[in-house]
Amino acid sequence: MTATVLEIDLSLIKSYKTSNSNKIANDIVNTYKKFVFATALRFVNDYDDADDITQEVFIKVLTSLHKFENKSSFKTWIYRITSNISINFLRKKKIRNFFSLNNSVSEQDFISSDLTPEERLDKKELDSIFRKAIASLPEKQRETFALRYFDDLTYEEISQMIGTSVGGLKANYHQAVKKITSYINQSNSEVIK
Amino acid sequence: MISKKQLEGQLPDYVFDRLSDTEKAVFESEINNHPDLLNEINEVRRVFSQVDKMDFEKIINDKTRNTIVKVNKRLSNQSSKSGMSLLLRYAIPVAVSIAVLIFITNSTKNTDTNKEFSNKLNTIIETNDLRNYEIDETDYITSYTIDFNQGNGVDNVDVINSIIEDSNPAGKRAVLRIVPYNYVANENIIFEQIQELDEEEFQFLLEEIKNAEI
Repeated sequence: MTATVLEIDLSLIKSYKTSNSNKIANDIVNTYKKFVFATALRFVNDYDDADDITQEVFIKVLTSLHKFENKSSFKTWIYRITSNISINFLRKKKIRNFFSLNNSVSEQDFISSDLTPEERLDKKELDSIFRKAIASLPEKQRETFALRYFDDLTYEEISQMIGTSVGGLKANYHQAVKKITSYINQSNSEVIK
Repeated sequence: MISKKQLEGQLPDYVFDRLSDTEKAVFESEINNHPDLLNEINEVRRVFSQVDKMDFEKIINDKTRNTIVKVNKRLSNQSSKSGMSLLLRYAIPVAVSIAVLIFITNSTKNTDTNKEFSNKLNTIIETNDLRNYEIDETDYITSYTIDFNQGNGVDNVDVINSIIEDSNPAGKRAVLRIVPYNYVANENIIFEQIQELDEEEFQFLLEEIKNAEI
């Protein structure tokens, strides 16, 4: 599976480098948009901010594709760009919030409109609790969890991205799952009280 | 036989069905020796069955549905501005930097003189209580003041000089009227009007102010 992904990556990149074709640019965006969005979301914990970052990442990727040297996989390269842009975004946001009285964070409701108001509230709460649980994890545990749980990456791929041994990643993943379980349990029991 | 630590490392993959058949068989044969891990598996399953209902895939699909359109729009905006971007990136910052440097150089040159001038005038004004001074030769003074304030084609320095050279005491009072009352309050204006005076002229003006009859 990994080899196939890399093969597609390389052929897309080579074509784009020579042709600057819109179609290939769209293919690249389509292939990685969910991955980029989910990665950004873990950093900023806000859907609108993650959306802005996703756009910025692809502009950066498409305008600096000539700098990609095949030293890592394309996905790893995109991951690094996304994490750098997200970290910079957070820094800027901290400064903005420091000078602003309005620190409210926008949150969009993505819960299905087919649900009853009670179900929508439950899901919205769970969504919020789950994202907070992920945000509360140490960075390496958070990234390992997300890349494995959401993105279905192999430990070898994750190791390339965040530079930890496979054994360390398995331990991180276990700790992350354990902490999220405990966080959600605790939040649920507080709601019941 | 695999260690507890290894089992823990495989636990999430077991719960989320990511182990191969062989790994799964080994895991299941060993896990019964660890009741605490069995409890943990049940707990993780229970909690994550709720999380799975969240359908994050759908959330992310919804949010990224228009990513291509947004990125293309921003890219085309960027390319249409690319001609301007060189100007914005290089020419304007360079021009602004040069302007700032010129401004700093000029203001540094004048700052000490300005401060000294301002201090001297303020001291004289305070010492002689000039702030409360009323002038009665209104018509005489007005002619100078109008020239001084509005230009009327007469150089401001010339106006001051002509007042100072005037033997009429009212002329000297006019100096007091013009300098302390009209301009000391606004340092920018007084600097604009009088910074052209050389040191000798300036000292003369100060002496005249000191000697003025109040």
